[in-house]
Amino acid sequence: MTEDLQESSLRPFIDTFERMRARIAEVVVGQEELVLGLLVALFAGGHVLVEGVPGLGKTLVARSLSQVSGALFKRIQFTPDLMPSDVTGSSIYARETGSFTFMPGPIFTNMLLADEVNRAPAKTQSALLEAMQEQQVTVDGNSRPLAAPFMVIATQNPVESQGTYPLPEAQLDRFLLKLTVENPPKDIEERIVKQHARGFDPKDISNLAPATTPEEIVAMQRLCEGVRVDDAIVTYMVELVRRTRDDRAIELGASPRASIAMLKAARVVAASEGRAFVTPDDVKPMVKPILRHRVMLHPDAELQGLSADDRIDEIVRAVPVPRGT
Amino acid sequence: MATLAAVLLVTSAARADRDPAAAEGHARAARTELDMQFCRAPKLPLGPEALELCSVAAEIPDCAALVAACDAALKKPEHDEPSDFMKSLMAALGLVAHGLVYLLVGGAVIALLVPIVNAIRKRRRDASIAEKVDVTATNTATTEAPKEIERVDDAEEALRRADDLARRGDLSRATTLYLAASLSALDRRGAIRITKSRTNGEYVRACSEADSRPKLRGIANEVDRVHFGGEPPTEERVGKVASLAKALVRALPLAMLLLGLVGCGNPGKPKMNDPAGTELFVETMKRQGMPVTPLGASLASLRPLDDGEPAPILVIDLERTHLEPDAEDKIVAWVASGGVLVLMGDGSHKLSKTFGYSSHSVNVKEVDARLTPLAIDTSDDDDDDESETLFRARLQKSRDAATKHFRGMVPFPGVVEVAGGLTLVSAGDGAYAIEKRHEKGVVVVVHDSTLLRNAVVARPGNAAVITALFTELSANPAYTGGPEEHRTAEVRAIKLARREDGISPPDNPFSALAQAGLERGMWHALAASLVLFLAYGVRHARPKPEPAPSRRAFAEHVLATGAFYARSPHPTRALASFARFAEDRVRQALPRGTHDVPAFLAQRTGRSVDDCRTLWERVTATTPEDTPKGDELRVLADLRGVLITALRRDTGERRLPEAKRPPT
Repeated sequence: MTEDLQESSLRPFIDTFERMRARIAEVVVGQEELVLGLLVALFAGGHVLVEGVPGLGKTLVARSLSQVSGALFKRIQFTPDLMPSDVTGSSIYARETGSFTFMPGPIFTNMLLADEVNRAPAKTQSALLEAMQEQQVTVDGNSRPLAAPFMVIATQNPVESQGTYPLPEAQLDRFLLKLTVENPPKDIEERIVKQHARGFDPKDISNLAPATTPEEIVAMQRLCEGVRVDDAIVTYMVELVRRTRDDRAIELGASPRASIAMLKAARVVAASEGRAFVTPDDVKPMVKPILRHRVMLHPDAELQGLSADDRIDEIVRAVPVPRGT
Repeated sequence: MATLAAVLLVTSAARADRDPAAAEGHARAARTELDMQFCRAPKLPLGPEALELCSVAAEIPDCAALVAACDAALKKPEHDEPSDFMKSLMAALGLVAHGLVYLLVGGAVIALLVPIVNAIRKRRRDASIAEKVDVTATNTATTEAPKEIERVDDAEEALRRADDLARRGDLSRATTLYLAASLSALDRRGAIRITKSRTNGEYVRACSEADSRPKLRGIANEVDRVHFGGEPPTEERVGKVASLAKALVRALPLAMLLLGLVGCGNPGKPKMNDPAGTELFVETMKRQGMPVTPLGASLASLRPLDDGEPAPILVIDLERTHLEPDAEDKIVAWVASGGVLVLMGDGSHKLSKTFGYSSHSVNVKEVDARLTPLAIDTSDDDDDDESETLFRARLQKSRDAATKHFRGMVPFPGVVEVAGGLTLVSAGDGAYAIEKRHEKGVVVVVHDSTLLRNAVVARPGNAAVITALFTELSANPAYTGGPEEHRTAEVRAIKLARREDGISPPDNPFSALAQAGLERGMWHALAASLVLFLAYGVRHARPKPEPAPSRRAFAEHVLATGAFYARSPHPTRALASFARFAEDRVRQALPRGTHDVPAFLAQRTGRSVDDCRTLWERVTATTPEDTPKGDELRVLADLRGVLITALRRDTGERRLPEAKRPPT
């Protein structure tokens, strides 16, 4: 498939990609990077952890994405008393039939918004592990496949530590991207307020027309897998990830899953540019979203005020970009 | 003998172009077609050389204007002495001009130094980047760095290499080199900055030259397509990349050239209005099939000819070209190796004397150039038993009978003498131009150089004389043996030395300035530039403060504490400072509603509450003014260990620095 993919066959993908982006922009002002990251993750078959303070439109973006993708959307507000079965579903005894009937949880959807995911205890968070990795849920010994496409969009608030349960490393590693949402600049914020002044209701986006279908998204995902990745690009990606393991300021570096995530994301970026091959330009923008939640800084580095993004920037600057022979 | 005859029999077709009889017509046509104005509208005022030619002006047809100009010039009284005011004005202008020259030289030196300074700064910058890489990347197998892009310093050279690779069919590497050349040129112009970690797309986006951006994008796309897309490069596509790269690399030089052309104005059609110019001679020779080209290099750079290397005819106008000793030595060696040298004018020149010539003036103005035919009818020479002596006598008779004569007039008659020479052009009973062999070469000395001048060539008969002279020279090869044995019909290249060709080329820009008489100004400018350079360099070499870290106060605090920790004479101050920092960090990590720091530390570190309480009370009670107890550094180290352990376990807190609190 890799050899056969022609750039002309990417035309429908670009059209769909741009159409979705344009539709989302009808209701979401600004946040282009967040939207791009979500679209990349969607077509790469990954999940996204969105970190930002409340009120920046994270939920609106997620809902808009599900609306334009024509996919089923469900939302779980994670709370400290949320149980795994509240996520996955459970078997309930039916008195009439005398047997247990499985009641699917909200995870049986195409897009799941796990709002404030770090407010639930690790036990509940772990309920997502199998779903995110295997795209199936095992309850009472029975594995039930999830719908395709399946995407988890988890949000968390970075400033509150009271009553929160930081996500374990294993859970973090399953997110393809971690996107950080910043406060919008002044002009964008003014546009947001004006949009609301004109009567925009973020709770009602039902008039947002779907730009594609779940089936088409799955087909597009397969199409992206055909994007060519040169060996030099693979070496570049592996080198970027390996350097996180050797950096003195990083206590725990990224796993090979990060390299694979980079590969998937870069393919989608390349396809969205209409190219049937990946270039270093497709890799670089994805490095920070892919690595920032996969590295654990050394305490001394934290004491010096360093952040994961700072170290990743340094690593990107240190690794030579491949340019061919 | 038959061989000799065969050598002499050369087809007449080979000399069809060299016909002195037609030279007159060629000269006339050249004057008309090229609109030479030295006769109709001569350059005024007439220069000294032009004035010397006035004696022939009257003999040139349609040259009334030149005659009138000559009359006017010769009758014109001497210029009056300039007034004192004019003298002082000229002196002042001279000073201003002198100052301007200083400025010009200074500017040139600065222009030379700026790239050097930039190169030094770039090297330092790259070195600092390299150091950073070493610090952050330990024990890592470094990826093979892309060599071509960063190592290309000379964009033109890279283009040439790329062209060469493309010609040899290595299209893949050629595309990379085209990209490298483009990036190098843009880097040199300051439009981008090349670093190893930048992608091609980043270069395109960062390019500050808006016009160059689409071209660079085109090249980068093609390179990416070849190297990452796996598409084999085609000649057509590589050709497109090459044209884009060349447009990018040569954009500035072309622009500068255009600017120069515009700045210099349209030079327009040359008027060729100097009676003492050489345009008519050059044009006539060209129409005779013997193109005359400028030497184009210093005579001091002449190198001896190799065996078998074609020997051109080198014409030096001794009245115009000043020869330095070095150039003279090189000329002598060149002639000895087989060159044909024509020295025109000043038969008493040192170089002429080197070859044994002498000259003196005569009153006969008529000159007679003889042209020995290449082909002599020896068809009746079928007697193989004829002796050598008889054959040569008959040959000479045939030659004398067939030799053609072309007569002209020169303004400065004179004869040249040399022992064993062969007369080419005679003036009365003497030789106006005489040829003599010098080792493998031939030296021809012509009494003066007026035969090269427009006005003299235009005079009826003279074009034939000068053409006959060079035709004879062209037919007479420069190697040993009897002149009749090796005559040839080959057309030799004729090189005319320019005025400046007698000067040795400067070894370096400074010696060039010294040769131009700007030695003192150069030293002054150099000193001024050195001062500027040092001032600039010192300013940039001065250590700059490190850029402020994102959490400046916090980081400085930790650094300061660390310094005290190492060797502070005031350990209580160090401990108090670190305690404040620790308290701040711990309180951030405390669960809401909790205030018992020792209990929190005990829970996080696994130590006993009492230990933590003792430690905490000890550090929080310390003030900078306390008398040292001797255990401060140990307590500080203990506290640091507790703090790191406590914060490491607080994973939520660990990620805090990444987040940003919204502005309130």
